[in-house]
Amino acid sequence: MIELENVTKDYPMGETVYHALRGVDLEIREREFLAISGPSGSGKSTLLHVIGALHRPTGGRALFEGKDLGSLSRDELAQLRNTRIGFIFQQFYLLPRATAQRNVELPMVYAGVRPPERRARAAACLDRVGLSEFAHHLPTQLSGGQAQRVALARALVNSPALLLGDEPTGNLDSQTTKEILQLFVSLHEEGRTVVLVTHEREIAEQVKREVVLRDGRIEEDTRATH
Amino acid sequence: MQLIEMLRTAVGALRAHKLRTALSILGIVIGVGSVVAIISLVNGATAQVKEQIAGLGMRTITITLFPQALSSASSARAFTSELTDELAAAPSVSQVVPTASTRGQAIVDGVSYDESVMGVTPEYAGLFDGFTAKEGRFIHALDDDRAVAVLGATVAGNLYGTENPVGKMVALQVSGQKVAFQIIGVMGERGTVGYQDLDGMVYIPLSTALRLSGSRQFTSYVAQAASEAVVEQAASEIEAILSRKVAATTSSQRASARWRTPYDVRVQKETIQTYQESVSTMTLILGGVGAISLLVGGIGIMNILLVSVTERTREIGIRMAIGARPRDIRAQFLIEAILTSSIGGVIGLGFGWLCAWLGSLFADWPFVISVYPALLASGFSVLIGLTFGLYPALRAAQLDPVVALRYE
Repeated sequence: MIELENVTKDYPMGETVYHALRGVDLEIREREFLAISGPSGSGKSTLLHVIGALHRPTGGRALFEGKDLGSLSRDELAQLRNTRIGFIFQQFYLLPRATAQRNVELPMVYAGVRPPERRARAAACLDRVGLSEFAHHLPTQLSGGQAQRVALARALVNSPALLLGDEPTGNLDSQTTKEILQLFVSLHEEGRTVVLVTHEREIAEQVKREVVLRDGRIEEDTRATH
Repeated sequence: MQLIEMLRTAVGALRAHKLRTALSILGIVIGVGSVVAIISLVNGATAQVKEQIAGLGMRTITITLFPQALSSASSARAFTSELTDELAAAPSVSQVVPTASTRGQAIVDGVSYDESVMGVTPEYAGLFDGFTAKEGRFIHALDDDRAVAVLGATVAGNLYGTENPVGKMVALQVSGQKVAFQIIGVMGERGTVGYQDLDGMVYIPLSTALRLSGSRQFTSYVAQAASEAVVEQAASEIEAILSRKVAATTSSQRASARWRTPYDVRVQKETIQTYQESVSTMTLILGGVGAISLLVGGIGIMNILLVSVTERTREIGIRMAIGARPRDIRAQFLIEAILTSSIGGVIGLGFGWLCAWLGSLFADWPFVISVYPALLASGFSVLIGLTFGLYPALRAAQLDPVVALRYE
């Protein structure tokens, strides 16, 4: 599903250049459940952004379902994010003035789904994450766990093949963390590819494969035998 | 993304900052409003003046004489009833009506009023559409040399109020002589035509006026060209006759610097054209001022949108992360700008018309709703939104999703 060959990513930092990724080779197959961990500044998030078509790599090759992300236009990348990839962030990133329902509908708005179908699918996804009753709440009226569930529903609504989580439980208490993780596990079991960036052992233990980054390079790539 | 969704998003965003939106809209309201009001007012004023000037007829040529420019002897020889016949004989002229006007006093119940007294022939009233007697009648050929007077509507009101003065005697003091005149008629209101307030005159027979002034001099003529097409032709014929006449009767070139020629020939059509030219100049200047305020309104929209893009950077990042294409973001901000300016345009249109209507009430001229400029101003307001929204929208669309997401 994803093939990275010697991927580099540089950021200009004033006068100098910051090398976030310094040559990453990684292959992620369909239906894998993978965790990316490493100390902060090791390039985990950047790697996830490249995988999630939010960033074009500076060098090397990044293929998503055979398409070279480096050669796709911004529109094509957007479409990929819209239909094939579901992204969940540590800070939830919900639109503050829109209800849970409206937030979940938003990816379908950009996909051009008609309103009646949109409403039905959003309701189904909210139900899937156990938040049917909160459909008309604003994000400010939700707890962190609830907000992350809304974000998860939003990520699921266009039935993406790939789910990406950038420290999705980083802002949650341990009980909620467990619940959210359980959701990821069951979504994986339903047949989705899941990649999570984390530095929590609890997550790393549950996944089938753990990739450890350090200084923009892969230090370890271990597959669990269980 | 469908238009309806974009509109919904835009309305939501505008409603989230009501005061800011209202101020942006206000800028456009003032701009469009002033353009619409100015155009509407100018149209009203033009319509009124046109009506007044047109009443005199497009065939009308007014000839004003300045006997002061000549020695009394030569002017006496120049501007006589023979001249009237000569002018009337010009090929492109169909009719010539001489008049002789002077200042005088009307004395009623011992009170004296300064009035303009005009000696006219019976044809005079017929020169102006709708200029007819309200009470009694106008001067008739049989009134020749009689001491009878017809009052303009304003004069009748000043002297007698609402009372019908027909049949009464009024003392007129003209050229130092006080003569009792019988009032035989009061004219209906006709307003100002050309440069003459028809309602502010006391009309007496031309022969009577000439006798009282002791001269044979007319002060002006009103001529009609045979048709509208030959008005200019008729005017030049008249000028030729006058210049020949003056040259023939003036022994020494006494025409002073003050009067280059002792006569002035004015074509009504020219007056209308001159007026229309000055109106278009006025419209241009005032419209320019309006356009500048519209521009300022547009800059206001741009300013607010730039602030809005910065404030909503994270929102833009979120939308991009879940699949909004750059063009979706661009459209979102453009629609916001166009919506703001269009609302401003529509309100401004109503506001402008309201101002024009109030203005026309005060100035007492017709209220003209001009659809074409109104549409233009509204269309222009959409264009303003598009133009001034484009830069902020492009800036928003150019954002990098990850950078935008991380924006605090």
